[in-house]
Amino acid sequence: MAHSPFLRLPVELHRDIFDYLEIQDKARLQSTSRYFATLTKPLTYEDFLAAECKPWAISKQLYACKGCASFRHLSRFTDDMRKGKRGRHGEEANTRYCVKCGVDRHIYTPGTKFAILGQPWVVCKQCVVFTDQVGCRGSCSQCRP
Amino acid sequence: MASASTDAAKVIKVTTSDGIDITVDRQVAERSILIKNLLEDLGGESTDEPIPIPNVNEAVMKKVLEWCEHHKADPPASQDDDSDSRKKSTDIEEWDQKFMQVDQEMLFEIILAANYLDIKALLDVGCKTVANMIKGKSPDEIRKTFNIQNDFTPEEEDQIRRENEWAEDR
Repeated sequence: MAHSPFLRLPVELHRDIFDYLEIQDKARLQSTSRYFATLTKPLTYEDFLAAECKPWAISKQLYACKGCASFRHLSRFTDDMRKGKRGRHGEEANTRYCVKCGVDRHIYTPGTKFAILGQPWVVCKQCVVFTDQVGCRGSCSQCRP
Repeated sequence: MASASTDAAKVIKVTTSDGIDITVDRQVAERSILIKNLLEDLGGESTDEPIPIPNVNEAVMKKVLEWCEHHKADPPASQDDDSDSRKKSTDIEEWDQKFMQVDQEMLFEIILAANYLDIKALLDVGCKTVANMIKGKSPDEIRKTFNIQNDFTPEEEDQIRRENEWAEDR
């Protein structure tokens, strides 16, 4: 068994150290071993929502998704979900969902068109796939070119 | 009641876990709330008797007292500093940074001693130092730094990796 002075600390001091970390470092420490994975309660959606305004999340272009209760890259959100009230610091940021969660939760019903990074996307009326291969009449180009 | 009597001894002695007596200014030693309370309980009397500190050896005690000496004039930490007021900044003043440049064995001994002796400010510096050693490292780098065994099953590791994919540096 390898010798680790760090692991000799009592659990409450490991928690104190954990509290000093930013969210990304918390996640990485939790990824090291079973002990650290269960040291504290899992990160919550509120943790992510607060952390999305920190420089690290901004530099990585990450936004909190309420459905995933985690960070997702900006390319996983419709443009409208990242603007105005649902932007960072926005008063309705806590109603932001990534596209996948939005389709799963029927926020984007089949036939809905939206933009991701300025490009048109569609939730296909026929196959309910969301794609940038937009076809006619609310469908993807596979179903109705 | 322990009123700090004016004729209380100016120096006290502590005995470390390895049986060494160390003489130290009372003001310096009282950075430790444990020692401070012990002295108050003694009512300023019989301070010729060394105070046994069975959890801390000489090398660590000297290092801790060096910190106490440097910080002896610091204002005492506010009684009930809720976690909000001591913001979660990991900034450490320069002298303390240098002080903490020791091997890991000593670093964690200092933290354990600060915890046992109840020296809140030193404990904070220690925890911040460790937090700074974790910052910006990948899980694998953290394991290497602290000799942590990866004891996840492949399935568990796969799952935690997917959950924390966003934290990976791209």
